[in-house]
Amino acid sequence: MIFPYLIHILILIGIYLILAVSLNLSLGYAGLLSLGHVALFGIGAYTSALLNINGVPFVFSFLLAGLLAGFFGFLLAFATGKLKGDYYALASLGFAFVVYSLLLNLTEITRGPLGIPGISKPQIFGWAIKDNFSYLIFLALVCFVSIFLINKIVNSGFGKLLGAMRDDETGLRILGKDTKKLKYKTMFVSGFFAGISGSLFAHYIGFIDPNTFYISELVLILTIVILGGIASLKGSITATFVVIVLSELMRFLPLPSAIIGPGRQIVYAIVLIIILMFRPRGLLGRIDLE
Amino acid sequence: MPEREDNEDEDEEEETPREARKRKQQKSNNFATVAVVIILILLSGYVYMGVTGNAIFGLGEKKGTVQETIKIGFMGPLSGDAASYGHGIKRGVELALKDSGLTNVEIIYEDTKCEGKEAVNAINKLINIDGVSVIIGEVCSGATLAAAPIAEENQVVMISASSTSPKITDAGDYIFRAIPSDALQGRFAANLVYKMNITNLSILYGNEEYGIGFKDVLKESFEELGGNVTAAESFERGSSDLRTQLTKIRQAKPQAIFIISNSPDSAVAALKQIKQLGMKIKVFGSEGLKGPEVAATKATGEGLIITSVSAGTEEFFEKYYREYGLQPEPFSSQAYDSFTALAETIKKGAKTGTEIKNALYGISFSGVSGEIEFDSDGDVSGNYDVYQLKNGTFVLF
Amino acid sequence: MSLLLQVAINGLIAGSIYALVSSGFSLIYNTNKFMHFAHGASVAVSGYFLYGFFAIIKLNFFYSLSLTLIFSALLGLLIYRIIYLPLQNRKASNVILLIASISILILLQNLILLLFGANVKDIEFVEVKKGLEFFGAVITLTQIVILLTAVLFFIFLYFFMNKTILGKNMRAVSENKELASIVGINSRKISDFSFLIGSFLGGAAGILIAVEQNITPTMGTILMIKGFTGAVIGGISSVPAAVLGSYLLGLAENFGIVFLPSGYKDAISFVLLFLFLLFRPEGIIGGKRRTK
Repeated sequence: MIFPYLIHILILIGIYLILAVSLNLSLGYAGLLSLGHVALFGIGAYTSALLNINGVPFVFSFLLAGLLAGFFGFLLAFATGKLKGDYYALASLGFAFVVYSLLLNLTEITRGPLGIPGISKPQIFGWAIKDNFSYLIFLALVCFVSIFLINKIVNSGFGKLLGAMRDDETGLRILGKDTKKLKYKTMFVSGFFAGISGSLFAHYIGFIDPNTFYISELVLILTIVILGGIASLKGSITATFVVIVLSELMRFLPLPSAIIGPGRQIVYAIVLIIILMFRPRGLLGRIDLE
Repeated sequence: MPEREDNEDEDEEEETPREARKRKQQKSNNFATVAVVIILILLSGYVYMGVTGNAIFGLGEKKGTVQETIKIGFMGPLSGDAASYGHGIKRGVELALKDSGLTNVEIIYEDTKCEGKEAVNAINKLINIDGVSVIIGEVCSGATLAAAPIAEENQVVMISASSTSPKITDAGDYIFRAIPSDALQGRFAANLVYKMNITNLSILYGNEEYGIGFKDVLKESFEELGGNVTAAESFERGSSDLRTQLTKIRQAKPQAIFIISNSPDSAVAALKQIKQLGMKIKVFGSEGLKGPEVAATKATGEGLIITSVSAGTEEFFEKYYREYGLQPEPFSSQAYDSFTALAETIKKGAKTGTEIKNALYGISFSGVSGEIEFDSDGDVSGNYDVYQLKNGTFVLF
Repeated sequence: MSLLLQVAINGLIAGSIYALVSSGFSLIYNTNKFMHFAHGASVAVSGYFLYGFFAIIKLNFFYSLSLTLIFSALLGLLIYRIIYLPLQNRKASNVILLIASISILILLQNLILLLFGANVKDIEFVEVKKGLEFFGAVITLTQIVILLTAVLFFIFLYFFMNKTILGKNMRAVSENKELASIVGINSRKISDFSFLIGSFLGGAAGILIAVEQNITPTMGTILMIKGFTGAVIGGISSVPAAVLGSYLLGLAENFGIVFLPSGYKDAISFVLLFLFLLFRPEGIIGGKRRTK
């Protein structure tokens, strides 16, 4: 008798799955710890939402969300080209902050802290998705396609080059490969998927505001990717299930929600610390974190 | 003999160290995953048992179907900086429930912290999982506006006791409120300020639906009367460093400042910093400032003039005091009336969201906060009082 | 004229707070060569310690103050010993340490949220009244105390780093750890001290903000970001540069919002941080650039 709630959890898992897998593509395969991914998620969500309330059909707002986020991913890679390791992480974190404050302050475009309410459910070529179950089916389709595509990328020649770049960038450059272009392409694809997951998120929840794409989301996403392990699609999928289910389970504890909110963040933080200290590879990762 | 031994050796060729590592890694990975999945399944099972023992989940297809108990949702800030409003409204609602004598009503409380995002999560849960037909909430205009489209789409009634943004008038057929729109209070406030011989006003307002809505009406009305708004600065909800905004306002040399905030923390900070910056001007406030935190500032807030909706009849004061040992809090009387209106429709037999909505449009009674009659937009008209903070208490001006 | 003066004063006060946070962070970074983002927690926790001692247990203010400073310093040391040291012994990379430090910050911040609730809390120690006026600008007594305290601490820090043995040893370890240990300096002990002193400075920042404004659970994160930005602007490889950068940041923010809407204050910091990290990661002062 808890079907509606199960559907809700599965939808959340689906959305975060695409996001986690996109981050894993950049972090796990290209070795770029992009702490700014939450911003790409947000750009996708806002693009889709703004287009939607202005009457643009879902298919276009969905794809444009991905493309715009992908573009910003590329920009981020372009701007931070020379940075490595934790400097890159911090610059991408800085990027996330800049995007957050732009979302908050460019009120003529984004409505700032008021957020964007009333985002409608998708309508695709006449198929109006009204209830959650249909949304889940649509989402599952998108998930399968995304994972299939990313899996293909990862197992292709391109993917192997990425792995090589993660493990030894200088060596790869000596061999004559243009690692900069590789990074750009990776961040574009990674950003694209982050963007469409943002769009799916916006259309499901129906309301977004800048705070949705800030520190607590960042911690959630980071936990999923690190728990799942670097360079493992299976790991990201498993970890998304684990983290989302755990955090939703907490809702049922007989505690006031004033405690559950911070409680969740504490759980994520502890999980992260434990993994970093005792199992940096995460659940199914194939390589230790850096 | 030696050859056979060699063959055997080749068959059982030793693993290279690399393969051994890989195999161990595989095993360790699998073990970890299986362990986590098992733990999760056990946890889910435990929670499932605990949960189905307590709550009743509908299949979520028909909302507000005929049930024995009528479920009413409550969304408001029960924690966070607007919590004092949330609890005041909760108390008003519970008192009204008691007075109504209804026994087949269940109120499900959700803490939404005055935030749009929380309100949306809560309303999704209340509608899809708890199967409510009507929701009292939210407290803050921004959160109400965030949740309203969802209520409207699902044909669930939403009635707020305290959201005053003018935008709520057009939020939908199913959206009601027992408190008048700021389109009225803003005008009232402008009149009040102008009548006190002030022609040069500055406004400090919270950067959210409530603040922006009120500010727009106040500015427009004040300028219509012939006055001048020389500065209008906004601040983020909950922000406690308003010196920059106040410095800019001070620069504009206004005769008075009107503070619009539904965050007591920000209001208190504003009052303090006005004093610290040595600004000698008349200070006005919207009703968001009529709360215990501001009253507690005593000397700092002395002289503050506030416009406010009615706090309630004398009878209501007595009733509230008898029940809770407290004076009615901001919006308690509006909350009481919100629930009473719902109770009337339920007593007339309304059960689903649509039935309650239709019945509400026909309601008319004398509530404790004023006349309760909803116009075609779901709004009520209202009267306003003016209070002044003297020696730590708000007295009628 | 008076507007500019007021803005300059506001900028110097904000800068002082950022500089206190930043100097502690920079000290820890230069001695240990990784980013201790959880330093923000030292600031937030100290504000709440003060609140706990002074407003809840109702201890005398100056006892509360001293205890708070001691506890903040010890907290920093604790984090080092429990989390960072084991990770370092395992040869963890800087990325891992960074994520660990962010996790610790989130953990502590949410613990505060859990224990104390989300509303702003006031430490009512100073009476609210008009500040001193000069040339049209106003400055309160507390704000003067902040400026003086910050300057005093920085002078002490300078003497400590340059005239005392411990200070000189710390600088030696910052410059070249291997060489320092060859010469017989116990780098573990030096690290301990860097965390103690750095967190002490962070604790001082927390106390000053608590008294001047108020405390909120999220104050640690935003101050850490500002302190970090100040360090990056000035130059990450030197503590005095971090101080300079922080004052510049405070001034930039406050002058910026004369022209921009007040909401853009934090945005100014973020944009400056991002730009400096991209185009001049070594900061204004420059100097040694990390090779890693």
